[in-house]
Amino acid sequence: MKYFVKIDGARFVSYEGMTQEAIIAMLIEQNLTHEFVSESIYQETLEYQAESTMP
Amino acid sequence: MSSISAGTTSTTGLVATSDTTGSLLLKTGASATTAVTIDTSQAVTLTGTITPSQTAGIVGTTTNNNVNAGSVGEVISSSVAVGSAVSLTTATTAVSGKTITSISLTAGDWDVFGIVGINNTSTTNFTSSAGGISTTNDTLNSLYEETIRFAYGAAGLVPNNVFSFAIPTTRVSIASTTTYYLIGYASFSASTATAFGRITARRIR
Repeated sequence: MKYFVKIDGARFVSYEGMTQEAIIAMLIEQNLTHEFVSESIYQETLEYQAESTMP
Repeated sequence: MSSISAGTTSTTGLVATSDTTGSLLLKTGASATTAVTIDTSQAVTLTGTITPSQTAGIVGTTTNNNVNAGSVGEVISSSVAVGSAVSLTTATTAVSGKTITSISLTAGDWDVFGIVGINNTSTTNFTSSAGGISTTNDTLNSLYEETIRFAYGAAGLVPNNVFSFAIPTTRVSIASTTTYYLIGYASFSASTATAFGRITARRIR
């Protein structure tokens, strides 16, 4: 199972193999805010960010 | 060869019986020691070693599925794409890196590996870069033999594009759930740098 997470309101991270509970516990331990998003939102955002980030 | 009946011992010491939970027990030897247990969920527990045919081996999956959590072959990973990279600040010590992402591993024996990428602008001047896997947030492993490090000389290097490098496999043997961090590191002047990558763990034993 894959999960897609928006961290600290800005960065997107994907996780595979961990439960949602394990992801949440790990991010809370690091004092990171998190919001689970759909794969389509994740992909769309990354494509946009990549276009504006690559040198 | 002698036949056996449920709950009775054969002339060779082999006995098939059940316990109070409904598990099937196969016992062997003069003292009728349990060699095989099959529980009501069809899980099989063997007391001794397993020796498959040297040529037939153990059959792997034949399609694109995932093994259950806790089983050999389990995969846990996390990725940060270049478009979502973490901002780096120039390193102030030999280990002062930045966490790119992290994974939480349950108790067991794992192989952990990854890739670290460093993004930059046309003027970012690097004097060093590094990456690795660590159990400490924002900190490279202090063992140089377990991190990947590059030095670019006193004048530095302006790569003017993304560069990336592999983090080799590291064995992780843990008795309790532990977080592993993928760390990026760079010493640079002029402009900015960011880090992205992926960390993957496979339960090997």
